[in-house]
Amino acid sequence: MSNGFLLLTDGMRHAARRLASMAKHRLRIRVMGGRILPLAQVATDLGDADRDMCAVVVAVIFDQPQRPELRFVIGVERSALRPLTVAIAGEDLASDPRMATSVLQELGNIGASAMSNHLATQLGCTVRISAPDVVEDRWGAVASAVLGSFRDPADEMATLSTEFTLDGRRFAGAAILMADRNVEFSNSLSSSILGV
Amino acid sequence: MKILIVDDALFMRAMLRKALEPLGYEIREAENGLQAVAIAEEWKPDLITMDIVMPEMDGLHALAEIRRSASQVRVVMVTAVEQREPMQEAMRLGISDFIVKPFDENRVISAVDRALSRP
Repeated sequence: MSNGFLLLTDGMRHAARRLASMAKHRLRIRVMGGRILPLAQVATDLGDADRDMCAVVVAVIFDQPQRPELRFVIGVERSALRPLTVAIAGEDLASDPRMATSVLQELGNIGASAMSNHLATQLGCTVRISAPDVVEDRWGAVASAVLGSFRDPADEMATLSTEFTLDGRRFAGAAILMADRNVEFSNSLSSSILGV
Repeated sequence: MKILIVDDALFMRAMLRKALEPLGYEIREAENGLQAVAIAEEWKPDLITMDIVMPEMDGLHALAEIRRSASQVRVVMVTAVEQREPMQEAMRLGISDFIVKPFDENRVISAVDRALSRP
């Protein structure tokens, strides 16, 4: 497995730990594993492509001359959103109909920040993130929309399967990392980003 | 005492309000840096809790704008960003404390209390 991919999965584990600590109830997030997928195979091999998901998308921007960018996307199945909101915000705040989207937005912010903090430490450069965007659609449609936001995407993407258990109930989750052409998942991430 | 809570996430603003309002603070909220600058100028809060990553204008730019008007308002950064450069920039802009999300409610209360009790 490439060091770039290991760095990203490690970053995702940091993000999962940080996110789990937000919940008032018992929430456990596991990063089950991941793989690098050629873009040509996304349509057939993404997994859960037809599942209705609520996703949050954050741009991760490396403070380097070529401004390499990643998109960090975390999705949870739609049926999990209400219990997740109650677990994180509490019953009283969860009664506000706007709260579920906001909780998801903040999950993306804290998850992407944890990952970018990890990458910044490992790579020795500043890594900025954008304000999070929430998207509700089929997982395949979410992936296509994120891909379409790049002018010149890389030929591959990383998919990470996650599972979270909330008060004993298990829900599917997923994360994807897409990048522009300046970022190489399958080779040395530091070389491609830092240009060394 | 007046506190302005600045965060783009409704959830975070609600959590901070829930922690601080019962202590008797008067609270107002802003969803981004631009709103924060306008409210700070007009309402003159005693303290601001400020996120960094927000749309329209981020927390560091907003704080720089607020300081430009010679405001001495106390500022507690409440953010998930934990990198050296933005933290140093926040310190340079004279923040009182830096709290990393997700936060413990008591940590926020003591940071606000400490910041407001300084001469």
